[in-house]
Amino acid sequence: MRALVRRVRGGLRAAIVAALLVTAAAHAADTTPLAPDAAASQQVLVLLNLPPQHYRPDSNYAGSYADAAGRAARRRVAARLAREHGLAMDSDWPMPLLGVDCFVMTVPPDQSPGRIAQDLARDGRVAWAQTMNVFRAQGHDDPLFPMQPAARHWQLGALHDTVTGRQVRVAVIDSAVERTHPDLQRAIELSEDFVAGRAVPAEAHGTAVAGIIAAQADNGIGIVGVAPQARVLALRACWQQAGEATLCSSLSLAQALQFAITHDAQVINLSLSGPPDALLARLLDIALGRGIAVVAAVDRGAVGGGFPAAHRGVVAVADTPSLPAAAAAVIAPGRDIPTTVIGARWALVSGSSYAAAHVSGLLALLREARDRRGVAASTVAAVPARDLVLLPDGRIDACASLSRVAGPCSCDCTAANAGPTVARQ
Amino acid sequence: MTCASDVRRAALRRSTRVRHALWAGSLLVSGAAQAQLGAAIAVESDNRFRGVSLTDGRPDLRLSVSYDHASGVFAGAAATQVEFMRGRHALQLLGYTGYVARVTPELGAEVGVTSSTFGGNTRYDYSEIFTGLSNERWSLRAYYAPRYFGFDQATVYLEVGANTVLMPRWRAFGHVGALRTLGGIEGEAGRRTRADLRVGLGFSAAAAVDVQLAWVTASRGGPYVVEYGARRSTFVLSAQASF
Repeated sequence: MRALVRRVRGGLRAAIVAALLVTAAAHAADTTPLAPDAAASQQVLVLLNLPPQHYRPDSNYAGSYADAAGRAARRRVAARLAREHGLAMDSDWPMPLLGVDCFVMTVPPDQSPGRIAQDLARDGRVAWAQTMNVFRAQGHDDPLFPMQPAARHWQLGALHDTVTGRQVRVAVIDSAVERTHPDLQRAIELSEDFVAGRAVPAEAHGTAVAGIIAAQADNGIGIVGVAPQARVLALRACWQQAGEATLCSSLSLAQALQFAITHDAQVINLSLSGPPDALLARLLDIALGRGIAVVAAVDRGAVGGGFPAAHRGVVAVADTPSLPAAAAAVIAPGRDIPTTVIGARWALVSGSSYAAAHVSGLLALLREARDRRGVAASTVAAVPARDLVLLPDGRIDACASLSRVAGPCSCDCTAANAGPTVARQ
Repeated sequence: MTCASDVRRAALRRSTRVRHALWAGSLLVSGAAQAQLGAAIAVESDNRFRGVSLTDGRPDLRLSVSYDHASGVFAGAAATQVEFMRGRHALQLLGYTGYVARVTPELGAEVGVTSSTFGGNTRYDYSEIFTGLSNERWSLRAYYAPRYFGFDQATVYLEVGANTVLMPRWRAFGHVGALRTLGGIEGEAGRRTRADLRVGLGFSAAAAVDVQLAWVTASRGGPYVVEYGARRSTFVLSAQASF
């Protein structure tokens, strides 16, 4: 009976998510290239003194009507200021309660709004000037965020109040990531193709993995990555076969691993599995020795979870606590995960590949927290996964993990995951 | 008596010219960093001043400049066409200056003086001092003229005005005033006081263009410039463009 209820719930959830995916895709088509916050970040507010109301015998008896000439005078002053500082006038708003007229001006892209505001503030004609600040409502506005399992189980919104993976480099060694996807285009720092002779613009698996790790937050579309401000190195070492199978080779993986290590990746995501490989094992040891966190997906059909998940020091990740394929595997969300797919769309995916992507994102958050506290990378080099705090069934307690690294955070660790937690050894 | 009166009028005109020169000087201080200099042109279907037509019910054109300094000093000038009697046009040049201080961030208290001279018939020239309180929504003012429109009669005028925003770009306004002679001759119909009322709608047609439609009326009584033949009540349509 419980299984039936679970299935019905799962089906309903999948249907709701599917409807939202369609909405999100439609919304993406309407997305303008320049977000309002981007425009605002280049604007300054220039406040000119509004003289107190007074008698104007040349006008009639209509209060602020009589000050029309004064308004025009202030517009002229503002236009002159804009010309002198090379700004573009956007709009103006009288603010009689403050005794000022507020003029909005746009600063050229090659100039600093802060410096322009300082220059304007020193002008005797200006009451004061300031940059246009952007404020955000608490909580993500991405429509699929409430449907992401990590939003609920990992309290992702609360984690992001503390860390977002800012400037942490995550190498996604996978198939081709769609760089132009509206939820990814700002996250990808660079992309390289190590698959000889099979160049393609985008493939499904890599695009889905990258979205879970670093999809942009608060852009009003799609999902929120676990580490939405991480910098993704999209390294194509795998290619998509007919029937959706995605394959990689030792050589392409080795080239990509080497690239990731030499380009200072701090987390390497390997949502793939295969036989033990000496070349790759050596490169993995180098990466782990340099303090890079390496995350791999568990293959439940392979002995010990497969390679590289079974490699010592690699964080092995499975997607369900009911069938742990490897004793050392941690459990992360991996069923019915909304994520980015090719064609600027979103879809549901399932599998340990996507559970691994969750953990890569989480380790990026923990890395940022460590960096903020000034903990040297070398102290975590040997066991980057030691920061992960697990529940007895192997699921990751994301809040407790962050609290362990960053100190008490704004999330309530006990609310999401009742019961004792244990540190991973 | 006549000779003394002419001497007094001549002295008054000289002092008026001096005041005009002072105002013109103050307007030239536009180089001050915190000054705001504006100009406007307006047309209206009737030049109604305190309820009384100064154009015999005909349309008029007005040009004006205004100056505001951050210190609170303000000044301005306007040129308006008047027609006290049909067919006898004159140009009214009006200058004013004053000082306004913020009593609260929204409320200003002011004191100032206006002076008018009429090209072609300077016997109507007169000056007035005023004081009042005003903010964005209402105003309360009192005026005193020792020789209202050049006649040997002092007047005091009290007015209350208010306006409110009805919706974006639309505003309603109202004004009520009372003009009273102080001594000297009695006014029309033996009454020393004349009340006037103006109510209407204002519309901001563009960033610097405003249009008003007002209904204006005045009671009998008080002083008149000439024998008054215009209607007591009328609609006045006006438009102003500011620069």
